[in-house]
Amino acid sequence: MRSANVMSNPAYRTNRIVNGKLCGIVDKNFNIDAFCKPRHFFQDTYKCGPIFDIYKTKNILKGYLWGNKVLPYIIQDIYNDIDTIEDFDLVEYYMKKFKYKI
Amino acid sequence: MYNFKNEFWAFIPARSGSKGLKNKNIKPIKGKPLIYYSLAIALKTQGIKKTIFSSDSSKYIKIAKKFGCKNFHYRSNKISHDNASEYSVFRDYVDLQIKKNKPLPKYFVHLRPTSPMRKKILLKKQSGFSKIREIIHQ
Repeated sequence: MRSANVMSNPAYRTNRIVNGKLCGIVDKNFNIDAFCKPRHFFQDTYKCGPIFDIYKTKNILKGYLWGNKVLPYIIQDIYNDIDTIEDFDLVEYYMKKFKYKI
Repeated sequence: MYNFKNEFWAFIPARSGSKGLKNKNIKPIKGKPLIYYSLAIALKTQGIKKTIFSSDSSKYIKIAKKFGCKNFHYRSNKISHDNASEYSVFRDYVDLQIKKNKPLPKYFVHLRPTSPMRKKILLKKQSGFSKIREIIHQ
Protein backbone atom coordinates (compact mmCIF):
# COMPACT_ATOMS: atom_id res chain seq x y z
CA MET A 1 0.00 0.00 0.00
CA ARG A 2 1.17 3.51 -0.81
CA SER A 3 -0.16 6.84 0.34
CA ALA A 4 -1.43 8.89 -2.58
CA ASN A 5 -2.18 12.59 -2.87
CA VAL A 6 -4.34 13.72 -5.77
CA MET A 7 -2.39 16.25 -7.84
CA SER A 8 -3.97 19.66 -8.13
CA ASN A 9 -2.78 19.70 -11.72
CA PRO A 10 -3.09 16.34 -13.50
CA ALA A 11 0.23 15.02 -14.77
CA TYR A 12 -1.26 14.83 -18.29
CA ARG A 13 -1.12 18.62 -18.44
CA THR A 14 2.64 18.64 -18.01
CA ASN A 15 5.15 18.60 -20.83
CA ARG A 16 8.66 17.50 -21.64
CA ILE A 17 11.01 18.99 -24.18
CA VAL A 18 11.81 16.90 -27.25
CA ASN A 19 14.13 18.28 -29.95
CA GLY A 20 13.83 21.76 -28.41
CA LYS A 21 10.01 21.78 -28.57
CA LEU A 22 7.35 21.25 -25.91
CA CYS A 23 5.76 17.84 -26.13
CA GLY A 24 3.25 15.68 -24.22
CA ILE A 25 4.53 13.18 -21.65
CA VAL A 26 2.47 10.18 -22.76
CA ASP A 27 3.11 10.26 -26.50
CA LYS A 28 4.95 12.44 -28.99
CA ASN A 29 2.21 15.06 -29.22
CA PHE A 30 3.58 18.52 -30.03
CA ASN A 31 0.11 20.11 -30.22
CA ILE A 32 0.24 22.14 -27.00
CA ASP A 33 -3.42 23.22 -27.33
CA ALA A 34 -4.27 19.65 -26.31
CA PHE A 35 -2.76 20.23 -22.85
CA CYS A 36 -4.16 23.69 -22.20
CA LYS A 37 -7.65 22.55 -21.22
CA PRO A 38 -9.37 22.77 -17.81
CA ARG A 39 -8.33 20.08 -15.36
CA HIS A 40 -11.66 18.22 -15.53
CA PHE A 41 -10.80 17.22 -19.10
CA PHE A 42 -8.09 14.97 -17.68
CA GLN A 43 -8.10 11.92 -15.47
CA ASP A 44 -6.89 12.48 -11.88
CA THR A 45 -3.26 11.61 -11.27
CA TYR A 46 -1.53 11.04 -7.92
CA LYS A 47 1.73 11.72 -6.17
CA CYS A 48 2.47 8.47 -4.38
CA GLY A 49 4.49 8.01 -1.19
CA PRO A 50 6.38 9.49 0.66
CA ILE A 51 3.95 10.00 3.56
CA PHE A 52 3.89 6.25 4.20
CA ASP A 53 4.29 2.89 2.51
CA ILE A 54 3.30 -0.50 3.86
CA TYR A 55 5.20 -3.61 2.79
CA LYS A 56 4.59 -7.27 3.38
CA THR A 57 7.63 -8.93 4.91
CA LYS A 58 7.09 -12.00 2.74
CA ASN A 59 7.49 -9.78 -0.35
CA ILE A 60 10.80 -8.45 0.98
CA LEU A 61 12.00 -12.04 1.20
CA LYS A 62 10.84 -12.59 -2.38
CA GLY A 63 13.06 -9.72 -3.52
CA TYR A 64 10.88 -6.61 -3.77
CA LEU A 65 9.02 -4.01 -1.72
CA TRP A 66 5.84 -3.35 -3.70
CA GLY A 67 5.26 -5.82 -6.49
CA ASN A 68 2.40 -5.35 -8.93
CA LYS A 69 -0.64 -5.35 -6.66
CA VAL A 70 -0.23 -2.07 -4.81
CA LEU A 71 -3.21 -0.48 -3.07
CA PRO A 72 -3.44 3.30 -3.01
CA TYR A 73 -4.53 5.06 0.17
CA ILE A 74 -5.80 8.50 -0.72
CA ILE A 75 -4.83 11.01 1.94
CA GLN A 76 -5.61 14.61 2.74
CA ASP A 77 -2.36 15.36 4.56
CA ILE A 78 -0.37 17.98 2.74
CA TYR A 79 2.14 16.46 0.36
CA ASN A 80 5.52 17.18 1.94
CA ASP A 81 8.88 15.82 0.91
CA ILE A 82 11.98 17.64 2.10
CA ASP A 83 15.05 17.60 -0.07
CA THR A 84 16.34 21.17 -0.20
CA ILE A 85 16.70 24.06 2.23
CA GLU A 86 13.72 25.73 0.52
CA ASP A 87 11.62 22.64 1.30
CA PHE A 88 12.51 23.05 4.98
CA ASP A 89 11.27 26.62 4.92
CA LEU A 90 8.08 25.63 3.11
CA VAL A 91 7.23 22.75 5.48
CA GLU A 92 8.01 24.94 8.49
CA TYR A 93 5.63 27.52 7.06
CA TYR A 94 2.88 24.86 6.70
CA MET A 95 3.52 23.64 10.24
CA LYS A 96 3.06 27.13 11.59
CA LYS A 97 0.06 27.89 9.39
CA PHE A 98 -1.78 24.70 10.39
CA LYS A 99 -0.48 24.76 14.00
CA TYR A 100 1.00 21.31 13.45
CA LYS A 101 1.75 19.49 16.70
CA ILE A 102 2.08 15.75 17.38
CA MET B 1 8.50 -20.89 6.32
CA TYR B 2 9.17 -18.09 8.79
CA ASN B 3 6.42 -17.43 11.29
CA PHE B 4 5.56 -13.73 11.03
CA LYS B 5 3.80 -11.94 13.86
CA ASN B 6 0.49 -10.46 12.74
CA GLU B 7 1.73 -6.96 13.58
CA PHE B 8 2.70 -3.68 11.98
CA TRP B 9 6.18 -2.34 12.77
CA ALA B 10 7.26 1.14 11.80
CA PHE B 11 10.62 1.37 10.07
CA ILE B 12 12.37 4.74 9.88
CA PRO B 13 15.54 4.77 7.80
CA ALA B 14 17.81 7.79 8.26
CA ARG B 15 21.32 7.66 6.92
CA SER B 16 23.79 10.39 7.77
CA GLY B 17 25.59 10.95 4.48
CA SER B 18 23.08 13.15 2.70
CA LYS B 19 24.87 14.75 -0.25
CA GLY B 20 22.69 17.77 -0.98
CA LEU B 21 21.92 19.02 2.51
CA LYS B 22 24.44 17.84 5.07
CA ASN B 23 22.81 16.06 8.04
CA LYS B 24 19.39 16.75 6.56
CA ASN B 25 17.70 14.14 8.78
CA ILE B 26 18.63 15.90 12.02
CA LYS B 27 18.31 19.46 10.78
CA PRO B 28 15.88 21.28 13.08
CA ILE B 29 12.43 22.16 11.92
CA LYS B 30 10.20 24.07 14.34
CA GLY B 31 12.82 23.45 17.01
CA LYS B 32 13.02 19.66 16.66
CA PRO B 33 15.29 17.48 14.49
CA LEU B 34 13.57 16.21 11.36
CA ILE B 35 13.60 12.56 12.54
CA TYR B 36 11.60 13.51 15.64
CA TYR B 37 8.35 13.91 13.65
CA SER B 38 8.43 10.39 12.20
CA LEU B 39 9.50 8.85 15.50
CA ALA B 40 6.77 10.65 17.44
CA ILE B 41 4.04 9.60 14.98
CA ALA B 42 5.25 5.98 14.98
CA LEU B 43 5.44 5.79 18.75
CA LYS B 44 2.02 7.38 19.21
CA THR B 45 0.09 5.49 16.54
CA GLN B 46 -2.06 2.78 18.04
CA GLY B 47 -1.61 -0.39 16.04
CA ILE B 48 2.09 0.08 15.41
CA LYS B 49 3.64 -2.44 17.79
CA LYS B 50 7.29 -1.61 17.38
CA THR B 51 9.35 1.23 15.94
CA ILE B 52 12.70 0.45 14.33
CA PHE B 53 15.10 3.29 13.68
CA SER B 54 17.70 2.44 11.06
CA SER B 55 20.89 4.45 10.69
CA ASP B 56 24.61 4.28 10.04
CA SER B 57 25.23 7.10 12.53
CA SER B 58 25.64 6.69 16.30
CA LYS B 59 24.80 10.38 16.65
CA TYR B 60 21.42 9.86 14.95
CA ILE B 61 20.74 6.77 17.07
CA LYS B 62 21.49 8.76 20.23
CA ILE B 63 18.94 11.39 19.14
CA ALA B 64 16.34 8.70 18.37
CA LYS B 65 16.91 7.20 21.85
CA LYS B 66 16.32 10.62 23.37
CA PHE B 67 12.89 10.71 21.74
CA GLY B 68 11.88 7.30 23.12
CA CYS B 69 12.89 4.85 20.41
CA LYS B 70 14.13 1.51 21.74
CA ASN B 71 14.79 -0.60 18.65
CA PHE B 72 17.63 0.05 16.25
CA HIS B 73 19.05 -1.28 13.04
CA TYR B 74 22.73 -0.41 12.75
CA ARG B 75 23.38 -0.04 9.04
CA SER B 76 26.66 -1.03 7.50
CA ASN B 77 28.46 1.27 5.04
CA LYS B 78 27.53 -1.16 2.28
CA ILE B 79 23.89 -0.06 2.47
CA SER B 80 24.43 3.56 3.49
CA HIS B 81 25.85 5.06 0.32
CA ASP B 82 24.02 7.34 -2.11
CA ASN B 83 22.91 4.60 -4.45
CA ALA B 84 21.76 2.12 -1.79
CA SER B 85 18.15 1.22 -2.46
CA GLU B 86 15.39 1.33 0.12
CA TYR B 87 14.90 -2.35 -0.57
CA SER B 88 18.48 -3.19 0.43
CA VAL B 89 17.95 -1.55 3.83
CA PHE B 90 14.75 -3.49 4.55
CA ARG B 91 16.28 -6.70 3.28
CA ASP B 92 19.33 -6.26 5.49
CA TYR B 93 17.13 -5.80 8.56
CA VAL B 94 14.93 -8.79 7.72
CA ASP B 95 17.97 -11.00 7.04
CA LEU B 96 19.58 -9.98 10.34
CA GLN B 97 16.43 -10.80 12.28
CA ILE B 98 16.19 -14.20 10.61
CA LYS B 99 19.87 -14.89 11.24
CA LYS B 100 19.43 -14.11 14.94
CA ASN B 101 16.20 -16.11 15.01
CA LYS B 102 14.30 -13.03 16.15
CA PRO B 103 10.66 -12.22 15.37
CA LEU B 104 9.48 -10.34 12.31
CA PRO B 105 6.15 -8.61 11.67
CA LYS B 106 3.79 -9.41 8.84
CA TYR B 107 3.91 -5.75 7.74
CA PHE B 108 6.36 -2.87 7.80
CA VAL B 109 5.17 0.73 7.80
CA HIS B 110 7.85 2.76 6.06
CA LEU B 111 8.03 6.30 7.43
CA ARG B 112 10.54 8.55 5.70
CA PRO B 113 11.89 11.32 7.94
CA THR B 114 11.77 13.73 5.02
CA SER B 115 7.94 13.80 5.18
CA PRO B 116 7.33 15.07 8.70
CA MET B 117 3.66 16.08 8.30
CA ARG B 118 1.43 13.04 8.38
CA LYS B 119 -0.72 13.52 11.44
CA LYS B 120 -4.14 13.25 9.81
CA ILE B 121 -3.56 9.86 8.30
CA LEU B 122 -2.10 8.03 11.24
CA LEU B 123 -3.46 9.69 14.35
CA LYS B 124 -6.99 10.62 13.29
CA LYS B 125 -9.37 9.10 15.85
CA GLN B 126 -12.20 7.91 13.62
CA SER B 127 -10.24 6.42 10.76
CA GLY B 128 -6.48 6.82 10.70
CA PHE B 129 -4.42 3.71 11.02
CA SER B 130 -7.30 1.38 11.91
CA LYS B 131 -8.81 2.12 8.50
CA ILE B 132 -5.53 1.26 6.81
CA ARG B 133 -5.35 -2.05 8.68
CA GLU B 134 -8.93 -2.83 7.72
CA ILE B 135 -8.17 -2.37 4.01
CA ILE B 136 -5.00 -4.45 4.17
CA HIS B 137 -6.74 -7.33 5.93
CA GLN B 138 -9.62 -7.42 3.41
